[in-house]
Amino acid sequence: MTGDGVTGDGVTGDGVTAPLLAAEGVCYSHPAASGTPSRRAVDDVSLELSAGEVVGVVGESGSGKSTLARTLVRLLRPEAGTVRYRGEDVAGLRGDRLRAYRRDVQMVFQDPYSSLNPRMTVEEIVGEGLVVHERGLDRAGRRERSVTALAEVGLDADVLDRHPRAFSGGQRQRIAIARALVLRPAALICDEPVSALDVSVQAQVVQLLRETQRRHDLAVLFIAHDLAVVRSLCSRVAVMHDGRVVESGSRDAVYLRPTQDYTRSLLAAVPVPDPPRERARRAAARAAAQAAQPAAGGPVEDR
Amino acid sequence: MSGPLLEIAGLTVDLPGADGELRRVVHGLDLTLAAGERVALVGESGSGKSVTAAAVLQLMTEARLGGSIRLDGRELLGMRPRDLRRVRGAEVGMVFQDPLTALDPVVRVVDQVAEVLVVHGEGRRAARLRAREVLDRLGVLGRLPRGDGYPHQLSGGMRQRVGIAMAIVAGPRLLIADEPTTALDVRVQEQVLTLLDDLTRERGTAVLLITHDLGIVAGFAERVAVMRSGRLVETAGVDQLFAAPQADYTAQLLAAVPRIDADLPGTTS
Repeated sequence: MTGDGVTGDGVTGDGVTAPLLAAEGVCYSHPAASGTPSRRAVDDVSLELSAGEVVGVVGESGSGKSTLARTLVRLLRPEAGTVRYRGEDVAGLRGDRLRAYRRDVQMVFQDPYSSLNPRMTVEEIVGEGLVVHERGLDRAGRRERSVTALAEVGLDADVLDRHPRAFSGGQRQRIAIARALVLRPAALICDEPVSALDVSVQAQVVQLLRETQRRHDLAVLFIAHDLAVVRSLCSRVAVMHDGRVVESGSRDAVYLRPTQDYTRSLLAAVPVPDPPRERARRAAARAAAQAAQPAAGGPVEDR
Repeated sequence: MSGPLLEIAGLTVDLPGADGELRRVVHGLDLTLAAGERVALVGESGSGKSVTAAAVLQLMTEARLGGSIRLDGRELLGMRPRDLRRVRGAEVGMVFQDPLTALDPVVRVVDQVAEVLVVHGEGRRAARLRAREVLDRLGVLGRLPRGDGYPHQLSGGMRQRVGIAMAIVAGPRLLIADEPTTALDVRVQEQVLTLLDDLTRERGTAVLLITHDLGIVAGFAERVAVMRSGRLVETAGVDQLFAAPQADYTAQLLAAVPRIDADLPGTTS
C-alpha cells in the first residue's frame, strides 16, 4: 500500500495547504475475545482531509471504517501509525493544543437515538461543548450560540427546553449536527449519519450537510456503506475492505473508472431505482455469477 | 382457478400505544395478489407496511384487526388458532428482517428447517431430507461443518438463507418477506435477493415484499403499492409507478432516492 492514500488526482484546488487531518499508516486491533485471534480492524491506513474538502469512506460492515473514524477523533489510540491534526501528532497533544483539536474536529454518529443523552434538554446538549471550550461565555451567551446553531439546522428556539425523546430521528440528527456546529469546527467526522433515517429525511439531512459544508467551508469525512449517498456528496472517495483502503481517488475516478475488482463488485451490486435498468443490471449480475460459479447457489463471499 | 390468491379488503389494525390506548395504524387497506405475482409494499417507517404484513398471519397478539383477509377465498380473520397454524408455513411463508428472531439458537439448522415440515405432519426422516435439499439449494450446507450446525456458526447472509429455507420448505403459495435484506451488506443482499427471486419463480410462489428500498423494488416487483400513515396512496405496475407516479407522495419518495447511476456534474472541489 502506498502511503499517499486519498491524496490528489488534481482535485485539491488551488491552495497547497497542509492537510487539516491526516492518518499515516494507522493500525488498530480491537481487543480479542478469549480464544479468537485478533484481526486488525484498521490495517495501515493513510488518508488525508484538507480544509474545506468532502471525503467519503465507503465499505461494508467490518471494513474498519468506523474504527478509523474513532482513531481520527482520538476516541481510539492507533497501535501503529500516526494521526496528525494540522501537522501535529494528536497522541502528543496537551492543554490548549488538545482542546483546540477537540473543538475543531467534531463527530456526528449514526444513531441519533443513542448519541443524545435522554436526560438532557436540547439546550444542555447543544451548549455542553461551549461550557468546556468557551469558558468566557455565560449561560445567556451559550444560549444565544445554541439558538444560532439550531437555526442553522432548521430548528426553532422553542426546542431548547425539550428532551431528545420529543423528536423524530431526522430532527435528532439535526440536533447532533447543531451540537457539532456550535463550536465552529473546522472538520466534521460523520459516521453513517443518515443510515438510520428514512429516505426522504435522509435526503434532507444530506442537503443540510452539503449547505453547511459550503457555508463554513468545512472539511467533512463522510463514512457510509451507501455508495449512492457518498457519490452525491463527496469529491474524493476511499474504499475500505478488511481494514485497508483498497482504492481511492476522485469521485469520478472511483465510481466511473474503478481499478480494483473489489470496488467493481461493490458498485455492481447497488440496486438502481429504475425498473428497466435495474432488471438489466440484475440479469447481468446473475450471468456473471453463473459464469464464475457453475455450482448453483454457491456464495461468493460472505462474512 | 379464478380470483386472487390473497385479497385484503378494508383492513384496519389497532395497536396499543405507550399509554395502553388502542391507536389505529392501518386505515382500511385494500390489496390483492394473484397466484405467482410479485407485489412490493413500500413506505417509510411508521407507514404501516410491516404491520400489514404481520396482520396477514396475525402475528401480533396485542393487535385488533378489522376488515377481511382472504387466502384463496378463505377468510383468515377470525379463523381458529389451529387452522391458522396450518396456514402459517404450509400456505404462507414469512421471512423477517432479522433472521435471528426466526431462528432458535440452540437447535441445529437442519432440524429447524425440518421442524416446519414436522409441524405439518411430515415424518422426521423425510423432513430432514427435504430440509437438507433446500439448504443445499440455498448454498448453506457447504458453510456448515459436516453439513449441519447452529445459527451462530453462520454469517448474517447465511442465517437469512436459513430463514428463507424455513419460509419456503413446506411449499407455500405465498411468501411474505419483510425487509429481508435490509440488515445485509450490498453484495450479500444481491445474493440473497437472487436466491429469493429464483426459488419463488421455480415454484410459482407469489411474493409480498415489504421494503423501504425502491432500488430493490425496481428489479423484483411486478406491481407496487405505496403506503403512508397507514393508508395506500398509490398502486401501479412497477414500470408505470417509476415512470409516471400518480401521487405526489410517490413522486417525492422517488426523487429522494440517491442514485448510483445519476448524471452528476463534474467533480466539485
